[in-house]
Amino acid sequence: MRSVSRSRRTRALEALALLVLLGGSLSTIPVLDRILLVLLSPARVALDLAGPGLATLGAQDPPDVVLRRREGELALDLAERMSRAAQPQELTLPLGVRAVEAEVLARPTDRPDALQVLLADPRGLQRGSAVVFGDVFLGSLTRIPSARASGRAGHLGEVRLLTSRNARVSGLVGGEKEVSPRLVVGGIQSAARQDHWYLAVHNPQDEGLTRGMVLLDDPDPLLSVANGWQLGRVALEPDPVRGGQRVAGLEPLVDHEAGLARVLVLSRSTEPAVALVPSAAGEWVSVRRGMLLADGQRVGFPLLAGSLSGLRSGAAVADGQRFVGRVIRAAPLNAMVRRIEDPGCSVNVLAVREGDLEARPFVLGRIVSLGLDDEGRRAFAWPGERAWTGNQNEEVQLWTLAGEAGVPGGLLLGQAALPSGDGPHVLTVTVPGVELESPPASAALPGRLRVFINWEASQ
Amino acid sequence: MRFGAKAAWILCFAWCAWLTASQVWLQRSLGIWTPDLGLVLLASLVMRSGYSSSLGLVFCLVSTRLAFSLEPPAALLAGGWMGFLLARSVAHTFDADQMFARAGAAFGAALLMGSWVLLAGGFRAGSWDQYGGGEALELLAGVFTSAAATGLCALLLGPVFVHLPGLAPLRRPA
Repeated sequence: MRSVSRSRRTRALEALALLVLLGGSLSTIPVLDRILLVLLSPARVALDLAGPGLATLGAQDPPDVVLRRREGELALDLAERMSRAAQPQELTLPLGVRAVEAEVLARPTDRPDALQVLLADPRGLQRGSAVVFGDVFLGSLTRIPSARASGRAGHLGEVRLLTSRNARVSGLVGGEKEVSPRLVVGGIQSAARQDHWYLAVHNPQDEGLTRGMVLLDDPDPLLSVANGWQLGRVALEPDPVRGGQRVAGLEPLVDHEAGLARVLVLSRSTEPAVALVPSAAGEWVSVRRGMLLADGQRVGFPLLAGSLSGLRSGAAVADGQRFVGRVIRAAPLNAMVRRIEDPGCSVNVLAVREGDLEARPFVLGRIVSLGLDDEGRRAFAWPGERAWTGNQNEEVQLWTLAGEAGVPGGLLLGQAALPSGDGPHVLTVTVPGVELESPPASAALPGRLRVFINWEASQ
Repeated sequence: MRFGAKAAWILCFAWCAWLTASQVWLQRSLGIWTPDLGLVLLASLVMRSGYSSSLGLVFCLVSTRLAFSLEPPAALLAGGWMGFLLARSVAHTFDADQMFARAGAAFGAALLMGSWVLLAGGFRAGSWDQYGGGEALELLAGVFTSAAATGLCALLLGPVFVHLPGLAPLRRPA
């Protein structure tokens, strides 16, 4: 009798556990995933057991040393160019104002209008200090490192972008006009065009004269150091009530969603700011990899190190300077990497003309993998919201753009021919010296890869 | 638990790891026609031992699979568990020596596990295009092909899998 009741209880528990698993399969429950990863951590032993066979699958020709060294040099050059792009282009810093460089680390998951940044020199910065990119005003600092924080924590800050619902600044219509109407700018205004938006305009002083470029003109002492920086260009739309045209909002001048990798914080000080250390955003560790059990078109591979070695979900994985993919889960002793060519995998990128070291990088924003084409080349969907203004099908190099959690800037994705005109477009990306094949393609990678660690903005 | 049974579970885990690694090898040449060797072992053992088979088999299968797969652990565990329950129901209904029942159990378990993992992946990604890079029907056809290969493998090689060295304590009927 007792055993019958125990059997029933066991079955009820099994059914309950199965139901929880079924629910956990369909949507991400972080706690459940973490518990299961610990529970199933003997998986690491399976990788070791399978090791001898898999080692031969990882065989690869030695990399072209000259090519790799050149890629490393290009990455350094790109970092310098990104730094230059963040500096004012046509404006000059007023006397007694200094610009502190800040690298964008990530965006908080619950606040898309905020940037977590690493400040090169937080001395003298205050909550409310103006943040700019080039000649464009972006928003203000909302979090500064505490005076007691040391090490990396002593450089972490947060920026609230002008797109935030609560952000408001005063602006002035620029240009050589006798009267410059004033207006208030902040938040987002949806546009008639699908998937498009404007910076919202509030209480324009004279809507009929509100045309052209709008500049910051705010009385706040912390923001006023950036007076004269651009807010956006006035966008007009037909007025269905009064006829003619009315102000729809301001056309943003930068890609707020994916195009911000390095910004400047302006503050009143005569002391020069310390430059940003390129490696401050995180560190790299070398990790041994295994081979993927491919399902359909899915492409990835396991790593023989896990969260105990500092690996976190979202971290970039690179082969030298080449971007390979991202860690999608990290158990204590092993991890799994999703390669960039896995369908649906996405990354923020910018394009650089080959051999043109002076040109400003062109930010493409987020591109999403469509998998490998028949010839084994990577195909990506590019929304192309900002059209490429260079030559049709011009050969460019695609590099990762900082600002996405776990992915530093300056990793090479490959070469592509950029189509001009409005998107969406499909980009075909090739990597010099690498012939990809339909999955599994991990054989084209070396046995050890670099993984980005210690990048969390909460540290 | 006796020493023999403990050793059998350790060896079962090792066999699952080696079979999954072999699958990696086979996939390079067989593509979607690659049988799920771990499920062939699971179905063959469950068919032989019936109700005495335990969830330990699912643990061995899923933890080794997790080491090589991009799929989320919850989906793999749920899929493996459902496959196990299906195989156990077939074992309860048919005679252990029926080769076609064994093949059917392996085919059903592979189809159930593969479809569930596919469904869960699509749900999590928000679309099947972002998940597998193809239409849902095309992806399902791939799962069906792999399940058919698994059934065929169980039909022809099931007894070999049951008699893998060290697994004797796990194949004793209840």
